[in-house]
Amino acid sequence: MQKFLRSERLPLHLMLLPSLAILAVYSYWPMAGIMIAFEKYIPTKGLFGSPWVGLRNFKYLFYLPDTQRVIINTLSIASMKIVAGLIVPIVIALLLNEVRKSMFKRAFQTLVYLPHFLSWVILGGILIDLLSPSNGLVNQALGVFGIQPIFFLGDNNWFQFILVSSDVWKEFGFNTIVYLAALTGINPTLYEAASIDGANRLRQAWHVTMPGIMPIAILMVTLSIGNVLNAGFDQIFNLYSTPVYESGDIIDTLVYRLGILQAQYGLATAVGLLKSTVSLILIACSYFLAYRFANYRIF
Amino acid sequence: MKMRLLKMGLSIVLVSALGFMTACSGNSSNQQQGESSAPTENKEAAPADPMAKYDPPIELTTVRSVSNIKFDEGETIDKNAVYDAYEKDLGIKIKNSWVSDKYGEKLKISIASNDIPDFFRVSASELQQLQEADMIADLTDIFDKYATQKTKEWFNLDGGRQLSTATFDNRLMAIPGTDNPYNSSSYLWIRKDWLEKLGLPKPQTMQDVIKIADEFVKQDPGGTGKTYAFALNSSYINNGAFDLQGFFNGYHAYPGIWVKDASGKLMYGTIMPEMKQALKQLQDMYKAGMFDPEFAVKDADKENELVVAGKIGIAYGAFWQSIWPLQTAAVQNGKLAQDWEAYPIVSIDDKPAKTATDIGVGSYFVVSKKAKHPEAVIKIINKWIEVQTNLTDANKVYMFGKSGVDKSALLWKINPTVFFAQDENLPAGRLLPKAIEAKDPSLLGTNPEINSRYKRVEKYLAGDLTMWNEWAMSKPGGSFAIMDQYDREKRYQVNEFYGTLTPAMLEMQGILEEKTRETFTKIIMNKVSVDEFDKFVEEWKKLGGEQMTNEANEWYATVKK
Repeated sequence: MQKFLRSERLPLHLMLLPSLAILAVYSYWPMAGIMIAFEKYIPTKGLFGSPWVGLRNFKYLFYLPDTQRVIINTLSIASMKIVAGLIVPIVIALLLNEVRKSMFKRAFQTLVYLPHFLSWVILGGILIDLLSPSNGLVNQALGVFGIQPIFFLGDNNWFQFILVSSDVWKEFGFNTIVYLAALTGINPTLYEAASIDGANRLRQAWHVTMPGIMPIAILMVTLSIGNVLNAGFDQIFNLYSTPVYESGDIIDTLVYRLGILQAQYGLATAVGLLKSTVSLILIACSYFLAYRFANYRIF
Repeated sequence: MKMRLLKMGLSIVLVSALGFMTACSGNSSNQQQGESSAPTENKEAAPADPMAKYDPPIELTTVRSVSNIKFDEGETIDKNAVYDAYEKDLGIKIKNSWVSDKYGEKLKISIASNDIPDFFRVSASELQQLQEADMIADLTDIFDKYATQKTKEWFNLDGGRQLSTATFDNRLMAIPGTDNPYNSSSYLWIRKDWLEKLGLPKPQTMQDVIKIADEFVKQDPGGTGKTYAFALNSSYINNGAFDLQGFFNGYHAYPGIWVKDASGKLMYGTIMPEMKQALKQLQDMYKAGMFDPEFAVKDADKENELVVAGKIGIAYGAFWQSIWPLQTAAVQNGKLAQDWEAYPIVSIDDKPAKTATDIGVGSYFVVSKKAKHPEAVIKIINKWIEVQTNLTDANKVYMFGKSGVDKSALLWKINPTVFFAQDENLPAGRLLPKAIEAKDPSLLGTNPEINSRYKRVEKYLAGDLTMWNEWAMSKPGGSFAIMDQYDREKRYQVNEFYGTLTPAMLEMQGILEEKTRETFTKIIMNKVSVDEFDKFVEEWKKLGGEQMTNEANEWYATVKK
C-alpha cells in the first residue's frame, strides 16, 4: 500500500476519479429506475411508493404486436448502418490517401465532415423537403427522366434505405478522418518492400494498407455495436410518420411514444429494459470478437 | 381556434358527467355546494368580496401552448395587455413557466418530473392521472367560496353535467373547460364557386359527394394541373379541421365515440363493421390518385397550403373551419378567392347521416396542490365569466387587447382560462340567419356573443373580407344554421359513455388509438387490403379493447337503470 501511494501511478488513478463519478451519477444511479418496469409508476409516489405489478408490463409487451416489429427494425437498420458506415469511410479514406494535391484533400475532408455538425432536426426538415413527392428536388429531377414521383419517406420499401444512406452521408466524414489518421501510421518501409517485391498500387492497398488499418476498423465496428441500439432516435424521430412505422419504428421511438406521449411509464421502461438486455448481449459479443480478431482488450 | 381544435382532438379520451359515485347520488353539483365546510378545510369564513384584489400582488405560474393569436405590436404571450389587466384588476401576476407548440408532450414531461405550475390546462386522461397521483388541489370548497353567482350559474347551466365530469368521489378536482357539446359535430365544406363552374348540384347523398370529388379531380376547375378530392391531415379520424369524421358518419360509423349496438350494449365506434365500407371507399379513391399522397405526414396548416393553392375543393370538418384554416384560403390578396360553403353531412343510404358529438368538455383546468393561492385561479375564472356575460368598456381589454377594438386577432385567447357557454352556438344558428335576412339585430336578444357575431357579419357585408369566416358560419345556410338543423332533425349521435375514464381506457386507449391510426392509414394508402380491418378488430379487442368495452358496459349498467 505504502509503495502504491508513493508510486507514480497514484496521480494517474486520481485523474480517473472525475470520470468514475460521472459514470456513477449518470450511468449507475439511474439503474434504480429499472424498477419502474415492474411498477405502475406514479410520479409523485416515486420509485418506492408506486404499486408493484410484477411482470405485467412485460406480458403486455408480449401481446403488443409492435414489440417484435421494433426489435426487427432496430436490428436491421442498425446492422445496415454499421456495414455501410464501415465500408464507405474506408473506401473514401483509401481514395483520399492516393490524392496527391493536399489542397483538394483538405477541402474534401472539411466538406464531408460538415454535416456531422448539423442536428437531425435541421437535416430532417431539409430531407423532408428534398424528398417530397409533390415538390421535392429529388422527385423533380427523377421526373425529367419520366420516373413517377416516389414518396421516399412514406414508402416502407424506401424508408430504411433513406435512413441508412442519409446517416452514412452525415457521418462518413468523421470516420474517414479516423481512417486517414490510421493510414499515416503505417510504416512506409512496408510499401517500399512491397513495391520492390513487384506489387502494384492495388496489391499494396490490399496487402499493406488493409491489414494496417484493420485493428482500427474492428475497433470502430466494436464501438459502434455498443451504440447501435441508441443510434437512430434523433434521425428517425425527425423523419418518420404513421405510414412507415412498419419499417421505421425502432425501440427508442416506441419508448418515446409509450412513455412520453401516453404516460405509460412502466411499459416504456419495460421496453427500455428489453433494449438494454439486447445491448448487453451485443456488446459482450462484439468485445469477444474484437478480442479474438484484433487482439483488442479493454483492460 | 387551435385551442378548440385541441379540445376536439382530445375528444378520443373524452370523459364526462357523473363519475361512479356521483352517478348514484344524483344532483351532484348542488350537493358539492352544500358541503362547503368540509372538516379538512379550516379557512376563514367566506370572504366579503370574492373578487378582492391582492395587495401586494401575488404571482401565479401557468404553462401555455403557442397558438394563432395575432399579438399587438410589442406584445407576447409572456407580456401583454391581458396579463397586465389581471395584475391591475385582481393583483395577480401571471407568469408562464414555459410556452410550447408541443404543449401536450411538454406537459407530460412536466408531470412525470413532478414539476407542475400553479394552474394549467389538461386533458381528461391527464386529469385522471394527476388525481390518482394526488398532485392537484381539491377545489370543492374554494369554488364554493370564491366563485361568483354568475360563475356558478355558468357552470351549472346544463344541470352540472360537465362540472361533474371533473368530480371524483364528490370532490371537484378540476374546472371543466365548458363548451357546447354540439361544437364537435361535422360539416361538409365545399367550394361553391367550383360547383357552379362545373354545373354540379349541391350534395344530397354520399354518392353525390363522391361524384363531386370525382368531377373536381377530373376537370381540375382550379386549373392548377392537379386537384385532390378531400383536404386531409394526419389525424384525420377526428381532428375538427380537414378530418374524415363527417365522412365516416355518412356510413353510420362513429370512430372515437361509444355507441349502442343492436343488443343495447356499448360498443366502440372505431371497430364498427360500417367502418370497413367507408375505408374501402377511401382506399378506392386513393388508388385513383384522388388524395394528396402526403396527407399522412401533414398537419392541417401544411395541408392548407394545397387548399390555398386551389388544389382542393372539399373539406370535412367542424363548423369553425372557416376561421381556421379556410379563411387564409378563401380570402387572398384582399379578394374573395375561394367561395367555401358548409353543407350538412350526407348519408350513403336512405337513413339520414348523424353527426358524432362528444359531451362537450375537452380539457380541464387544474390547480397544483402546492399552489399558495388556489383561490386566485377561481378569481381569474370569475373575471373571464364576467367579461363573457357583461362586456363593458372597462373590461373589454380581456377580449380585444389594449386597443379595445375587435380586430379578429384572437387576442381573447391570451386569457389563461377560457370557457365557452354550454348552450353556445345553438341559439346562434336559430337567431342569426333570421336577423341577417331581416337586417334586424333586435331579433337577436341580448347574448353578447351573438350580437358581436352580427356586428362582424355587418362588417363583412360592408366589404371587410377579414370577416368572411364569420359570414360563412352565421349566414343563412351557414354552419350555425346547419348546427340548428341537425338539432331539429335529431341528427346528433352523442357519445353514450360519459363516465370518468376506466382503468383500461386510461392505460390502453392511447396505444389503441395509435394502432387505429396506423392501420387505417395503411388501408387508405392501399398498403394493405381492406380485409386487414377484420384482423385489426381482433387485435384491438385483444390489446385491451375488450377490457375497455367490458368496463364501459359495467359503467353503463349503473346509469341505465
